[in-house]
Amino acid sequence: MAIKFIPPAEIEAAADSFRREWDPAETIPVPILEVVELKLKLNVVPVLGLMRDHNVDSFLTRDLHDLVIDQEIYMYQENRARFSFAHEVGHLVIHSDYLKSLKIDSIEAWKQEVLGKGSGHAPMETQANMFASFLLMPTTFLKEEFEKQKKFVSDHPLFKQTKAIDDRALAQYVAKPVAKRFGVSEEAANIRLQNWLGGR
Amino acid sequence: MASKQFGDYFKELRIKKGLTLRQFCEKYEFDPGNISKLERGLFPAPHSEEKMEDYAKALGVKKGSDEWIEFFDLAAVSNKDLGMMRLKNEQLIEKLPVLFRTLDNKELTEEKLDKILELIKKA
Repeated sequence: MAIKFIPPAEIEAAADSFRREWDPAETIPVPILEVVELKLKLNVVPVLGLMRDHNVDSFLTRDLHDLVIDQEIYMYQENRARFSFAHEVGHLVIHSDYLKSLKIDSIEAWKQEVLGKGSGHAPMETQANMFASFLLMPTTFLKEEFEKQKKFVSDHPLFKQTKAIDDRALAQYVAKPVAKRFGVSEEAANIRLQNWLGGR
Repeated sequence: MASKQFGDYFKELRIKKGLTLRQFCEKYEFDPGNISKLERGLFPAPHSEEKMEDYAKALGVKKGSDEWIEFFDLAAVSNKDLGMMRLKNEQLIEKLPVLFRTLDNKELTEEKLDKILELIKKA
């Protein structure tokens, strides 16, 4: 099965659909850890040193039953763990057909798949990141929060001197409160805001 | 149909309490790696009655209740299976990851995969 391009709108629709199915109350911040563990009932496997020794945040096992995550991240870096969980859910939702189609019956075949594809898997990682971003920061709620923060920031004397403030420039000033509202890092919030504002 | 295992029951009770693994371990000061292994049947139930009672209490199992009896019965069976808990090769293959969330999307090498393989065997 070939790795395919998935339009961002399709990824967003998949993320929205997943969120509404598993959290009909539409809670913000999205309770992704609770959804994955208590509703999807995936096994969480915390591993010490996964990041420190192997540069790996997390992965989903091929049988799609276990979410393996660096133990330090899982226990002490909540926002990062939330993004990792949402990222792995992205693989589960948009790449499970691909993962199931792989014929891996030995360690050697596994190595060949991972190393042979090399950067071929990189677009799938990007897609899973996009899914996570849409899932944790749904457009409707993001828009609402951006407008709220925009009004707040616009009242600051610094911005009152400026006639027209560009939304994309403003985004960097509001990324911090937006990040707090959605339980993500400031960097993740800024990327999401820039992409959303750029695509309007 | 496979019979219920101690680990499955442990996880079922934790989920019934509405606690994620992290919340459960933080609240009761358990090691998350060990609890995860216990739930996945890779660790046997503890032999120590005191430890078992700690777990039962944390999971909200009342002494003398049906749940209590089932919890301790399944633990006794789990201890008998002690020698069968390592992942078999075909199970290991099912646990191998294909897509990795890596720092800065760094490329993987065969050496790194060998190390990750060892890690999965122990996880």
